[in-house]
This record gives sequence, structure tokens and C-alpha cells, in this order.
Amino acid sequence: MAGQSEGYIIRKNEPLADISEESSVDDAEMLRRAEEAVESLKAEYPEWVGHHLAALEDACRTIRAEPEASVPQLAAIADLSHDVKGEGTTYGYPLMTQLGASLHRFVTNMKACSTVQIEIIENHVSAMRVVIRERIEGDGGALGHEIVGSLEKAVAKFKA
Amino acid sequence: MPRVRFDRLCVLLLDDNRHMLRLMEEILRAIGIRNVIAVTDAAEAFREMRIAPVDLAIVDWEMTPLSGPEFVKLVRTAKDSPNVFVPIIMLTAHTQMANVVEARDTGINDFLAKPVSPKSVLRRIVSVIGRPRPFVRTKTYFGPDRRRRQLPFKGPGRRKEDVVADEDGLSQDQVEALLNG
Repeated sequence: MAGQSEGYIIRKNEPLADISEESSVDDAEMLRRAEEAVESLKAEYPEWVGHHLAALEDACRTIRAEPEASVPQLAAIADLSHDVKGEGTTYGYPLMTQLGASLHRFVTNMKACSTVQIEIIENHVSAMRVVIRERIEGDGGALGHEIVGSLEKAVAKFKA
Repeated sequence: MPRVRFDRLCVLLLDDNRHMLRLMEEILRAIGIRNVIAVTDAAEAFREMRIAPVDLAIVDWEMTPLSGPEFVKLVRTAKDSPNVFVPIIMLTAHTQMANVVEARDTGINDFLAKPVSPKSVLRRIVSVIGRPRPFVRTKTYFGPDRRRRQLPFKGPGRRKEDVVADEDGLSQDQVEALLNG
């Protein structure tokens, strides 16, 4: 902003007086309630993310059965992997975010799908299934690193 | 820091992911916000903003057909915008420095990095409502004053002593340092 001419303040934004008064920022009780609400939702995550995984598996099957129909299926995979990426860490499964991010990067702008590519996609989805089935929360330790690492190698090898 | 009367706030949530919408709504209600309007697309958001006294909008970055930054630009600059001054927090996992600068330049008030936590949500809301910024109009920008600190416009490297951006993006603390000083 510094250095730009003809800038001006057109309205000074006053605090919303009817909803502000002096006090402390953090409210421990308020946060406790919110954390409880989040924990309750987290417990439901493995069940409803299963619907995402089922949809991903359906898309993979359709691509194998009808390669000419790849484009809309790849778009669906991109959307679903984006959702998995966004949700995973928030719900206590950062591995799902990593896997979702890797899959989303892989399929973004993909217009056709070779045998190798569909295998990589399926391997991502299988890895997600393992994470959810085994309830691998956090970074999953050595197993988690192995899961993510092997997929990243496969993607890197394909793109090389 | 002023205390915010959450029970009197009206908050609009815009996210095309219903699960994230639900999580955010639970957090907001748990911290005492009773009037939460949750919508999944920008057109619906505009409709709600025309009939409800929205005090704050929390908007996801990546949506279709209209993205978060595109929505914010419309709110700030469209002739038929329901409220050009509404405080807006951008919610996203895209915390690479270039994205933070892009979001800031659309006219957001603040940034909430995923994964969200009740604490990070609470702090962002208190910051935006309790420390409102004046609005500024220039030839190329309309929105909250961005002048809390000089920010780099040309990629990483010029402020290495302040924030280090890596390909995985900035953390919430780093985003706050970049935006708020």
C-alpha cells in the first residue's frame, strides 16, 4: 500500500458497539464445549468418509470398464480427493489429508488415464481404506510414512 | 481486546463441503453463536446476505463454480453487493505465501488455516470483530486497510528473517504474522 497514490479511507470501521465490551480473549469453558463438539464429530468421520472412498472406487471401476468415459470420472476423483484432503487433518486423520492431497495433485488436469495411472489412483484409494479400516490417526508412525512414501515414489516415477 | 458477544452475532458460513460446513457450524454454536447461516454456494450466500444482518462471513477458498477469492471480490466490488463492508475470514488449506497475498488483495479481513481448531476459530473471530480495520479505496483495491506491516509482493526471500514459506504452506501462526504484524 505504501507508495500507492490516491488511496483514502472511505469509512472508519468502528467496533460493533452493541456486541463488544472489554474482557479477555479466551474463554476456557467456551473452548471446552467447542472441543467436545469437534470430538463428537470426529468419532463419526470413519463412517462418512467411507462414502467418499466408495465413490472413489466406483469412479476407478468406471474408468477401467469405460476408458472413453475417463474425463468426468477423473473430475469426480479430483473433487472427492479435494474433500478428503480438506477434511482429514481436521478430523484427526492427517494421513488422509496427505493421501487426498497426493491423489488430488496427481489427477488435476488429467484428461486421459493409462493403465499405470489408474493403478496409481487405485493404490491411493486402497491406502485410504487401510488408514480408515485400521483407524490410523496422527501420522501413523513408520507404517504411515511407508504408505505415503511408496505412493509418492510411484507418482514421481510416473512423472519422471 | 474487546469481548465479543457471540450470542448476538450473525455469521454466514460458505463452503461447498458439507462436512466442513457442519464442523464449523458446531464450533460456532459451541462458542455461543446462535445465528449461523450455512450455505454451499455463492449465489445462496448473496441471497442470505440480502435478507439477514450478517456480521461476519467465513468463506472457503476452493469452491466451484465461484471460488472464495472470486466471491470476496464480488462482495467488495459488485454494484449489487449486499454489504461491501462485511468482515470476511478466508478458510483454506492453501497457505502458500502467494495464496495468502492473493487472498489479502481480494479484500479479506483475515485468514483461517486448515486444519481448524476451536481455538483458532475463536481467536480469528475475536480479532476481526474486536479489532476492525478501517476500509481503504485505491485505484486497484477496496477492502480492509492492509497497512499493518509492509508485505512482500514478489515471492519468498525478501523477508526470510520473518517468515519462511515452504511448499507445504504457512502455518496459522505464520499467516497471522504475515497479515497482522
